Amino acid sequence: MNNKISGTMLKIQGLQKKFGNNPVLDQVNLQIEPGEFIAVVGRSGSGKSTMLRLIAGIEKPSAGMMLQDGQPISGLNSDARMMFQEARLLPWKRVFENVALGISDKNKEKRKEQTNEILQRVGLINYKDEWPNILSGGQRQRVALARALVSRPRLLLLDEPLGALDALTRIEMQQLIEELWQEQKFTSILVTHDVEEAVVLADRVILIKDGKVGMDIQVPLPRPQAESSGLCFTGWKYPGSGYGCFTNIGEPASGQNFSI
Amino acid sequence: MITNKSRSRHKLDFLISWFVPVILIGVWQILSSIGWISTRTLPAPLTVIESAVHLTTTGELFHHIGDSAVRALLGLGIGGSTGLLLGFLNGIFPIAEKLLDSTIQMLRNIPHLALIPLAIMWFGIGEESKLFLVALGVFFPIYLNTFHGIRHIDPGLIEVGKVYQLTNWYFIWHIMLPNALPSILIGLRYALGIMWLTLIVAETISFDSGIGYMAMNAREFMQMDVVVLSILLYALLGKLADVFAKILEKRCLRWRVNG
Repeated sequence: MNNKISGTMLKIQGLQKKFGNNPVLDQVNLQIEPGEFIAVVGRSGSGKSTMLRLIAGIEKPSAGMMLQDGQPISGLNSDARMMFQEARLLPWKRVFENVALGISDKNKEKRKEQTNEILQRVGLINYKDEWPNILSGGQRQRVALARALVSRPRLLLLDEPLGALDALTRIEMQQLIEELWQEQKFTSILVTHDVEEAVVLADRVILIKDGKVGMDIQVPLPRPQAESSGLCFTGWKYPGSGYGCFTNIGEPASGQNFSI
Repeated sequence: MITNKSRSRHKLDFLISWFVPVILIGVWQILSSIGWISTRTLPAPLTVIESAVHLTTTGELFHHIGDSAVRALLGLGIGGSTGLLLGFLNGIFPIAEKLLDSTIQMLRNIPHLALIPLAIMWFGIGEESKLFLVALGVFFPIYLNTFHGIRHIDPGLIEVGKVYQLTNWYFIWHIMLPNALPSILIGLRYALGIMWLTLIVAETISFDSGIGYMAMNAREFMQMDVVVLSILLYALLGKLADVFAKILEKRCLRWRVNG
């Protein structure tokens, strides 16, 4: 829709973060291209979430350099939006208002238009006047995704946003995130402990180990990677239906072929 | 269908809650009529109703209720708004908390009714001393619960505020305040109870008008029915305040629907 908007480029050099005297991250070097989808995996406590929070500007690095499009990140990163493991919606605001929170533009008409558009996109337009409390976990995360993307950020930071969802909802959300990423072309960094999810979504998978980048692997698969990776383990698809393992769940018709 | 059913269910619940009071009053009336309860100990309910009707027709009853209500609400307004303001101030700014909170906690431990002699010497027996006592009484529950509500905020929401770069004003008004509201409303309910309690005591010490004055005046003339009527009025007004607080809670906390 808008070709001028594209993802940010990030260059991280010698990044270090200490809590007390313990370095959680030490000498992280990383280059991320505009529009790239990066997955960061690692054990819990490996500092992968901390790295995300440093890029968002919620926390300050102890040492090192972070450049975004050549400019050092100082203070809160206004090009970035972040999704957390919990949706973190405001329970006292209806879905529409929760999403509109992501827009700083004061123009009411524009706010309404953009909010409705993204709610339509994540499939929750019919829920826009509901309280978050009545939504399911997956729906809440979709609201949180809409809130993160409504302002068309150039960098989306995902801190295990699908960790608490059930398997089916999770795959739906992965598809939605992939689709929106392909449409909006933002740079995306996904922190996850699910290697499978990393391979399905990312162009590149990075392993954080002992506070450093332990591995940096390109995923050499054509998209949608869920299909080409063979990770479409329980779904089936109809011949010629193209994309999506789980979009076609229903009665198994004759002639279906399993993706495994 | 379902709403009809739940409405009649509601009606039933309402009737059940009134069952015991009505039976008690009925037994009281019967025991008075057959002379088991002397009218010197306790007047019959019908006598109380008669005197209520009489005082209503002379306009005296509403005059007293009105005066008491104005006192109660003014005291609540002064004490409540001060409590709310200080609760916000100390909840938001740590420096204000350090400066003020321990002083407030010290004052809180003084039973405010113990200050009656002091209040009379400072303000005389007029309106001011009563307002002072009511305001002081309602201040503490509202202050404490506002402070508590502001402080107990999900750190996750604070982070959301940061990531979305919300203005301080938006954050205080749209996140901190609604987050603290359930706690503030609990404070209000406590305060309403204290408000009537304080007023009962305050109105009996200084004579000019109000339900408390009506009761003390009736005692002088041995009008047992009016004394009992005053006590029942306090019960009724207390209940009314509680109902009001509940309605407010329901309206303000609509988002707390069960998922």
